[in-house]
Amino acid sequence: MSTPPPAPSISGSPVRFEGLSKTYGPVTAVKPMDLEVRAGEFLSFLGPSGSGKTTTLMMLAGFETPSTGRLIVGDTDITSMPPAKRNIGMVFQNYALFPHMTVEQNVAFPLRMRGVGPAEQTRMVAEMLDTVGLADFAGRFPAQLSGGQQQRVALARAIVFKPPVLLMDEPLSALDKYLRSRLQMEIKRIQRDLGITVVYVTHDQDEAMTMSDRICVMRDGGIAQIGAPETLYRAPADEFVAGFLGESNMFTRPLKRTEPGRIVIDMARDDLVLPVRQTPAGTAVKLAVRPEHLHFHPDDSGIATVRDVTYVGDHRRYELALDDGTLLVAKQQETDGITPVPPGARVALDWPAGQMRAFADGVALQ
Amino acid sequence: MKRSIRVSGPITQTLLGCMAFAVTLFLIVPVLIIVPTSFSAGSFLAFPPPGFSLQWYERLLERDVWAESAWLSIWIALLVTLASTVLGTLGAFGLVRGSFWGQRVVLAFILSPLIIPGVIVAIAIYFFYAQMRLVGSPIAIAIAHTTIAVPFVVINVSASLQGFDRRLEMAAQNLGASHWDTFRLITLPIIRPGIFAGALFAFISSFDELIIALFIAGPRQVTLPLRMWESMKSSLDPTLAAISVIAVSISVALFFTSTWLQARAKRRTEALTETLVGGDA
Repeated sequence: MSTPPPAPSISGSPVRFEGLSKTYGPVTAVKPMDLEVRAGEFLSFLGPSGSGKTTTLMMLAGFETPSTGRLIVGDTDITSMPPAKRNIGMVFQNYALFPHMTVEQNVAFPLRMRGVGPAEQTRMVAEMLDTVGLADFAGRFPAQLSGGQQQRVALARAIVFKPPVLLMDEPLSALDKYLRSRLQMEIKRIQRDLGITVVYVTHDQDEAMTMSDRICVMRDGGIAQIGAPETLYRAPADEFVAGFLGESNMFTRPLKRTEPGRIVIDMARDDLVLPVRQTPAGTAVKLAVRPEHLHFHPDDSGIATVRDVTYVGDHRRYELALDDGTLLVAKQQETDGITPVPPGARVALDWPAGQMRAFADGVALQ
Repeated sequence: MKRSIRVSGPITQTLLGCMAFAVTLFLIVPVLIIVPTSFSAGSFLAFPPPGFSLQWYERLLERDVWAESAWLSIWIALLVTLASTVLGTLGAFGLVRGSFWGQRVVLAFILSPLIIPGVIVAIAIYFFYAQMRLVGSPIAIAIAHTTIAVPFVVINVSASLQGFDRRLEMAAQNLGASHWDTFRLITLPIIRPGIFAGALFAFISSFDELIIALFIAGPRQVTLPLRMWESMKSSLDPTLAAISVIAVSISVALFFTSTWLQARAKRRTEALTETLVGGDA
């Protein structure tokens, strides 16, 4: 096996969205958005379909004209620049490989459009195909490749001309789970090696979590929250983010008292004091606890009943029903000496208060 | 298996096969009979021929009028192919990609020569061209044939364009291609089979057209179908069969060439969609 040559280094450019928005007649697809993607950063737009993430990407690529605002890459204002002049790489959802060209011709296409000489083209294409591990497939047509190989060709074609920014529109959604996780790591490696700025669009939260430096969660055409994966998971700004990123048990509890800086929640058997940044106006709060933080032990005077147990390999997944019918999910790590609690057993619940999030009117209080 | 799924039993299957074979035979035998007739040793259009010879083909080569007519028809057909392919392709782009008021009416209008009886088209063209003093020139025949050939190109190119993934054009532009380069290097090569098919139909529709030629050709512009028609009226000798064999051969050869080209283009794009679904690294 030959060692691959060092990848060509590209320095990524920062991307700035200044009050960027898109409306179609009376319909707002993207609300005015301010955002700075740092040079060399991997930023994902994550959201359900219709949240405006693809429209945002298309504005960045130049296929949608913004209704207001400006787009700046590096020092250049690209707001009204045609797509062909933007020098931004893009991997399309269906790869959009040219079916009548070989792998080599596909990857050489952007170089050809930039007037790179034939010898230099051959060298750069060979180097790039080596980087994505497709050196032996140069002469094949896209139809003669597997889905994963096509994906790599699309990636090679999008970065061979060393663009400072790479856009990816759900590039892995057509692949099976195993291949997806392999390519996630590979894309991440190439991105780190090249230092390229990546703007990634996905509706898959796991994908966004594994790959991104920062995630921008989109909802109804606006930014719900932006931050590092860990921040979003641990401290979601609102109920939507808490529910969208990872699993959350949500339940409503009445408030006993509110004091400046803290609230007292009525937890049926005892009271829970929670420090907060802002005091809610209402008389109830919504609490969110991650399944891995919800602990329980068999207790005949407990408040929940085990409804169902599922063995998932590294953990057991419990469905617990409160007496009012509310269903909670708990994950129990599978370690030696743990005997599973059978369905039907009464259990007592507890969780570290620090891992709990409280929301009023959908907004986080802590 | 449920009974309702079975369409027919073995007996019905056999009967159906025989029926289909008989109908095909009935349609194609008259054309096939021309072939042995054209090699006839006799001097009348008769089947079965009394013996075989190449005399009628020799006769064709000796008599300039047949060659003249053949060349005239080929030239007109080539002109028609060129004009209708360019116009029809442009029209298909406008109809598939554009959205404008009265689009369906325009499409119906362009396709109307396929629906209106040929004689009526011919009469209309005759009166119109007579006024413009165009009757009797080969250019007039070419223009008239172009109107009936354009629909074939529009239909075929539209079909290719409807199946065309426009993200390929977006990808090309994203990679730095101008609009012209995108068309020249991406769009055109991919819809080429459709254009070829349209061009082929255009060529054939002009090459074997009789009615319009009958109305507007002058005494010195005798196209091949016209010459055959006239020869048929005056003398029934096997020269007619010989020229028919040549004309049929040209059409069949063109048809197979285009089928082969289309199949080759299709193989690449079809395999692409298959591997997109499954496959591994």
